[in-house]
Amino acid sequence: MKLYGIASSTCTGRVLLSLFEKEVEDFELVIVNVRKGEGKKPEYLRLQPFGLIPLLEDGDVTLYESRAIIRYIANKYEGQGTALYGKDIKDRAKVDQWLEVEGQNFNVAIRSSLGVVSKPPIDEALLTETLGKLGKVLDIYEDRLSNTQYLAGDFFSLADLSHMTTGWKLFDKYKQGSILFEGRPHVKAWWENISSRPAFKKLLEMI
Amino acid sequence: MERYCLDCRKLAVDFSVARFTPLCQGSNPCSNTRENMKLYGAGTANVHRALLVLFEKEVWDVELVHVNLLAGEHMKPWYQAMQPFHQIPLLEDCDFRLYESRAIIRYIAEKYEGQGAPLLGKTLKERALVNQWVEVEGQNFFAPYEAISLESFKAFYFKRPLDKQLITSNFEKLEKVFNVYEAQLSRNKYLAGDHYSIADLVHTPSLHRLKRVEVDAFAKWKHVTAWYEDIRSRPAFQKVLEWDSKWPFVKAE
Repeated sequence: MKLYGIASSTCTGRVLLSLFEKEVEDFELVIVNVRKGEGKKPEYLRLQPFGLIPLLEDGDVTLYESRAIIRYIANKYEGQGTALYGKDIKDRAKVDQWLEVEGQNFNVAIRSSLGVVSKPPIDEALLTETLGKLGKVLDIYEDRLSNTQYLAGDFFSLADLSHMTTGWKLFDKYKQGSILFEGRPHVKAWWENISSRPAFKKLLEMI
Repeated sequence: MERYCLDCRKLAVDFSVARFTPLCQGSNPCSNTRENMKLYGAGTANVHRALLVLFEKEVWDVELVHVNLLAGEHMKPWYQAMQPFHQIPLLEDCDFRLYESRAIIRYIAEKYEGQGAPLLGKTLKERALVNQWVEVEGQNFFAPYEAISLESFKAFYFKRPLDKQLITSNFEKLEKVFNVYEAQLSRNKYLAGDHYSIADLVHTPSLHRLKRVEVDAFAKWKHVTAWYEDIRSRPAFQKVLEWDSKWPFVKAE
């Protein structure tokens, strides 16, 4: 199994997390640094026509889009490691629902904030505006997580996992994001819980 | 589970006065053998694709509940209690509620795997490729498509000219996506391979909408055009368009 990408990329990290949660060790990380333009090389574009990372090669399966790859990993290794997709069709539907929420609502908002904090000098007004939009999304998470321990229910799943690499960048790496925990104790507790998972600590060692 | 009266939209404390689907009344909602599926929404592409998967799976017993966006019904407490992001569609399968159209599509495709058109692929590999192309739609196609669709609607509704710059710049983003689709569809009949799947299904209503904004939106891509003609002419999609007339939603022309 070959995973093309770089550990510091939020999308590659998402896949690495799923491999670690599933206790899959037998894979090779092939570095493709898109910031250095390596995604645009013809031999890579043949595999991933958008020139993005990550890409997974597993036997005769060549797969891209991190949220598709993590679903594949969850399904392929269903019998081992952490259960990542719940236990039945309704659990899976809830996981898919919150994966969509992450991919559509959370991801757009957090990327706007990350775009501001990662390129100093920081435009404080723009930071306040982007954090405000993310805050509105997290208000809904706060309500949800006051009823369930994790997003899809009372079980850790791909839905929680999918938030961790972007969440880490905004909440822990760039501390400006941690202001969003104020007044959102359930989001804070959820974040502290999931970010203390061994698989996540293993990923952080690579970054 | 909280129930709201469909007539007065108030939280129902007395089930007998609230107009629910008769089959789901009472303390044991699914004791009946007949199921009832409710789809909350309006005539938008995302709602159409949820209806499309139901029809592909030959689930005809669907009640459409109109959430009047123009009247702000999606922002009302009775709707937000079910869909906290105040978006449409929302699916109610007896006592199970689900939102996000792509999640609804996956759920229905799996629940009714044994009937109607096969939509998910058979092997682990096929299913992974189907998921990949659904993600491609969600992460690459959807945002520029949505920007164009929304601008087209706003210009119509507020009776103002189209923001041509916005339309052009988003069509430029779609160029890159259509180039990838063209290459893929020159090698395969459908996005994920030889068989129609939810990866194609998620696109049908959006492409239909796109053509209404710009009739030649993807005319220059031969394989994309042929693929669209194929998926658009499926009986299930024709039925979606027929049902669309049941909702008095103002269409952006």
